[in-house]
Amino acid sequence: MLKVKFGRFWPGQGRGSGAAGALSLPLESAAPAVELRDATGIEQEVADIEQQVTDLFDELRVPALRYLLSLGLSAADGEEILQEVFLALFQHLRNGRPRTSLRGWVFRTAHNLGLKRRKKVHTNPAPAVEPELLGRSADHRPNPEERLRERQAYERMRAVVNALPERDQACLSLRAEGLRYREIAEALGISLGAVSLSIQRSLARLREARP
Amino acid sequence: MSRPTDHAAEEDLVLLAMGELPPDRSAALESHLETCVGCRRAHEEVRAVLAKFADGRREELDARLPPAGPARAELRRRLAEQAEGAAPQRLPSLLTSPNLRVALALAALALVAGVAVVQWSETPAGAVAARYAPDPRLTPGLATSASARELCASPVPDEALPVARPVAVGVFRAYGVADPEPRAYELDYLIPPELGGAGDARNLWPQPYGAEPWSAHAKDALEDRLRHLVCQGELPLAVAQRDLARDWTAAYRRYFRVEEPLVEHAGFLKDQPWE
Repeated sequence: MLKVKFGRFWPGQGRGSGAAGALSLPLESAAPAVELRDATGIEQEVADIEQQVTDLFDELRVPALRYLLSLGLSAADGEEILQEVFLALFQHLRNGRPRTSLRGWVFRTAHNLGLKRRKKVHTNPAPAVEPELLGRSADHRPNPEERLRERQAYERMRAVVNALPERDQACLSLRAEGLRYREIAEALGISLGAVSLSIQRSLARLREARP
Repeated sequence: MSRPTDHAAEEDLVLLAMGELPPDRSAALESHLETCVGCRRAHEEVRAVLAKFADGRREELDARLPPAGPARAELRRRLAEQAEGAAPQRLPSLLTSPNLRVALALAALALVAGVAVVQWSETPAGAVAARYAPDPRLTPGLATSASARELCASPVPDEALPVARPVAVGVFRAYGVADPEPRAYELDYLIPPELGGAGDARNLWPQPYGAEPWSAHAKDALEDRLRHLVCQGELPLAVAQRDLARDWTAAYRRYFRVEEPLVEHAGFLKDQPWE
């Protein structure tokens, strides 16, 4: 990559003074230097973006998929939506869109596509706890009694959460996936204050339901 | 907040437990928790409740997650496909549009004009090198770092970015054209400025109008099509730039899904001829 100066007629082409300053060969222009990418640079940029998208997929697939499942979608639908989300992310990054808060962007896109899909398949938005599935998951705790107690406690919590307004459920699920308040606000398209109130309300309900 | 009886607000306790309290308020509240048992207990309970909910939820949902491998492989495959610039499904269908007659009339006119240019350009004053593709050593293509958003926000001007005469003459000479015929060539940007192409000799080459069927008209139509796709968000800018730099005729075939330039593109004129 090299840095050259030349006239401005298009974004990224610096400032110049008409036709005589339009090309980079006469380097006398006082315009600020701009970065140029040759064919190799362009190829490399495409490859870098592909890698960045794959890295983010590795990092966010599981939490995003869990979130889609909690919206009431099947795992197959969730996987399909995530493919769409990350292909859209490729376009998003390639077209020079902001790279900040990509986690918020991924969850927002997944949330929107998830709601759209759910409407289409008429799936139950808040599935009940499936105890048989709990039994299938990995058990890292040695004490069966403790495990049973925890499972029962979680089932009570799930019952409380299922009774919450849908937006509160979404806020809590996203927080449980480790999203910051500003990322939740971005994902759901609501204010930071609304996220804060929602989580405070939900946690108060959960605390009330504790034995 | 120093007196144990002066309890912290529930909102602040939750924000602290969630790590969302600003640092100064966070420090003050933490020092309060050291002395206030009630607030400390409430704070710990908030954290414990969320942790238990998150753990239980993970355990429940993880059991339903398919293995990552196939999904990851599928994404890699589809990313590679997109990066290779697979043409989007929608194509302009001039042939089915109500403007068909106008398009065909223009095309016929342009064909006549094209023949005239070829005949005129074969006069002894200067030969037209029938070169529809640039020499990759002289014109490998060069792009600025402008983003699609920036480029698409700028309207395409009526006239192409002017090229300084000494630079233009240098480009013609490099291509072995000492005395270029007026109006027989377009001094073309391999990657056009409206797609981030740089105003640099390495991105310019003399493209003859007479190099049928792969003339400057077809190239102009391709540039127009690619800009439309990029600005519609259907094609990554770098893919458009790369496809033009690699082999613009292959890009034309791919994006218009034809083997030869479309007849209506014979009349396409975006950039002005070199004079």
